Amino acid sequence: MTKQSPGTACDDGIAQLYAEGGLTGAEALLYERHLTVCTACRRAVAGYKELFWDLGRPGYRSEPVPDELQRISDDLMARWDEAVADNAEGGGAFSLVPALAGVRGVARGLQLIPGVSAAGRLALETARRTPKAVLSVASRLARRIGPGVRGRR
Amino acid sequence: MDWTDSEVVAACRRGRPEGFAQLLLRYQERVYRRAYSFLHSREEALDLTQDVFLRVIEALPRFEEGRPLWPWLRRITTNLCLNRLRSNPTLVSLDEAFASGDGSGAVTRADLLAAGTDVAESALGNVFGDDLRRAMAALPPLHRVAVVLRHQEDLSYEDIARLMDLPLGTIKTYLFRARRSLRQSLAASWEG
Ligand SMILES: [Zn+2]
Repeated sequence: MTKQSPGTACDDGIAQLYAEGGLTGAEALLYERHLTVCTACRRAVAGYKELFWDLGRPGYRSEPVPDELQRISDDLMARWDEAVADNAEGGGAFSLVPALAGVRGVARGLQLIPGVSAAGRLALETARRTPKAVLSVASRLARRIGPGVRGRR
Repeated sequence: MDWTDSEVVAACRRGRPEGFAQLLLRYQERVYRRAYSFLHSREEALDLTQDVFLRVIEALPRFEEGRPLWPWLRRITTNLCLNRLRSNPTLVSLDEAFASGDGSGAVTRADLLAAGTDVAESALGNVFGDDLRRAMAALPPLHRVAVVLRHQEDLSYEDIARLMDLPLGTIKTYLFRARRSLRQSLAASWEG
């Protein structure tokens, strides 16, 4: 539909391309000349510019995030632990440090981070900057690997 | 402290759960939102979000450190959404009906209301946003995917064609029709 030359009057496809900056310099100049004499195309271009702006704006994107995402995070963390544990047994995909599976892996991981424990830092950071639906991944993790690590050893 | 993608990937590859927790913190909501904007169904989007990260768990060990995560996650999300849309005969036939229709692409208010069940949850109470969301929900799903990739992900026509595995001409047609339809729907709802 964009095969017509931009000089062709009143083509909705051209109006769209113009509104998203998709015409070359010469094409745009030609079309702008048409716009000076054509109310319909001016209205179309204005409508598309407004539409494209609205489509890209964050307000339109912010559907509420459902609470179920939290349950999904929990399931996924469990699946992650399983995958890492399976790997440690089977010598599989997580090849870099296969011995770091499960709780022992977490304990070793914590030692790699100087200062504040990773769990505490995660929880702090989460409290500051993340929406509540996702928030408790880190706090749950903190609970699990914080005191739990020493307790189980 | 902000983790970089590389740090997240490195931690995950060392099997560290806080790495994967970071990955979820950073991207789970984003993946959900993208899935929702493709599918316009809360249940489907939730289900799909889970699928995406299950794939991620499988594939992460082979993911190159240093590559940015979002384009990869977006590709997985888009592919899984497209599979879902294509395997759903109701949704695909909507596309066909649209393509073989009168070509005006106009969506009536009744269409919008029928399609808008999932849309009423808007926390914004923003009238224009609601109209736009309803109009998006009423689009044929593949047209909607193309619009989201173009206007929310800022991808080029060529990148969209590659991602959706469709000819460039098809993408142009989808975008042209979808955007004309959106503009007409919004103009109609403004006039009442
Ligand atoms: Zn004109």
